[in-house]
Amino acid sequence: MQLRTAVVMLLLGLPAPALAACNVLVSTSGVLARTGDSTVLSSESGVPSVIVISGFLNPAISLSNPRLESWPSGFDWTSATVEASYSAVWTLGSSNGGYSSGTQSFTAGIGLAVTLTLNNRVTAPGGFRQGAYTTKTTISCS
Amino acid sequence: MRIPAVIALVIGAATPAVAATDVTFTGTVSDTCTLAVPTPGIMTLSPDGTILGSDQTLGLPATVTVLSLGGNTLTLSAPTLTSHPSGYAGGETVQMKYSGLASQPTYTSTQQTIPLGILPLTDLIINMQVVNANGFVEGDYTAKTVLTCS
Amino acid sequence: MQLKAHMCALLFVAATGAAAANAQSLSPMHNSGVTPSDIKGFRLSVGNPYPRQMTFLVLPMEPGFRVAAAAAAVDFPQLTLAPNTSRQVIVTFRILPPRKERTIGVCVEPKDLRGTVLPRVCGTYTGKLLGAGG
Repeated sequence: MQLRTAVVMLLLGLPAPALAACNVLVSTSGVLARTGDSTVLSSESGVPSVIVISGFLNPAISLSNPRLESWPSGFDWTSATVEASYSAVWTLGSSNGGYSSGTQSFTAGIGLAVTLTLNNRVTAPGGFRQGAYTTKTTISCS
Repeated sequence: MRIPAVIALVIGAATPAVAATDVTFTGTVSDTCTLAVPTPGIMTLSPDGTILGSDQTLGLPATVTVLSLGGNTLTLSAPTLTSHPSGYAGGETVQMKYSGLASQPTYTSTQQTIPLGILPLTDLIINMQVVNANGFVEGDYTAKTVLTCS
Repeated sequence: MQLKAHMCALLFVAATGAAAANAQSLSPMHNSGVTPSDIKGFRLSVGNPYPRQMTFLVLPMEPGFRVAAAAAAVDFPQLTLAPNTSRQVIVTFRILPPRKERTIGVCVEPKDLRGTVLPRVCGTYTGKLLGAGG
């Protein structure tokens, strides 16, 4: 009996829990293409990725770990730099970030959804070997 | 027994949830090579009549513009005299030299290979000469090297 | 004795006296793939990146680019391209038994070019029989 009372008191004393995790939907997949500078592959020359983030309440959104996931044999991946840039809009607000290989964050205001346009860029001083390349950037919200 | 389960459930509901998604970008790179010959070159006769050359007076070297994206190689075949007027007896030596994106400062009769890699628009200037101690009969002569980017 | 001995320049130069640029590009320069039959095809892009109409020859060659390739064909062996345009061509070749793999070359060069330099862009393309391994 005492235990049940304690549990009830515990339940009443806790703050209201946060909403469940936000939804991250990739609406448009990004495509990398060679730029006029043959040492750069960029989605700005190809197709930027468009992501819709919804189902949140004042989320902190971060972009992190832009990285090269796959490359053709013979490519000197150790000399390559991968960066991400973004442009985000939501009701009555926006945020932008230039190319960075680190983590970038912003906090969206109350709104139904955030539309995030994400670009990836790979810079390789020695150029690119013929073949397929894949990059990834992690988007998280909390 | 049920109480620990209830407590666990409450604790779980109080922790903020985090969503993380990897966004993927894909791309394909293709090797490309572009060649252009904006200036074809002109050979003229030396004063002593034994050399037809693009570096003689009023002669003009050929200019080739090269753009390479990838691990390409430029090959210049051994130059040859591909046409001449009737009555010409032969016995010539055809040679070339070049400068610009690569250098061969002295005349040579042999095939040349130039590794390219990533190369922005760059010129290769090619001089050619036909040398014949017996001279040349009147008429049109054509000397050629085949420039291959592969 | 006045010798009229001069090197024939480009056809356009000889005819009009105006300088002309002859240029071509080819992409990709290399490719490989499998085929379930004994015929392999590749799609290539031939480009004219300069501001003048050009006619090109697209020639299947043996590797080494000296000899024409047997049992190989291009759907458009001669192309006339407007300035700054490209066009795709399909090259097909037969993998002759008992071989299970074959590599051919494809060269693009200007048609009827006269001058000291004949520019060619050449690529190599490999076809393998499906299940041949390697």
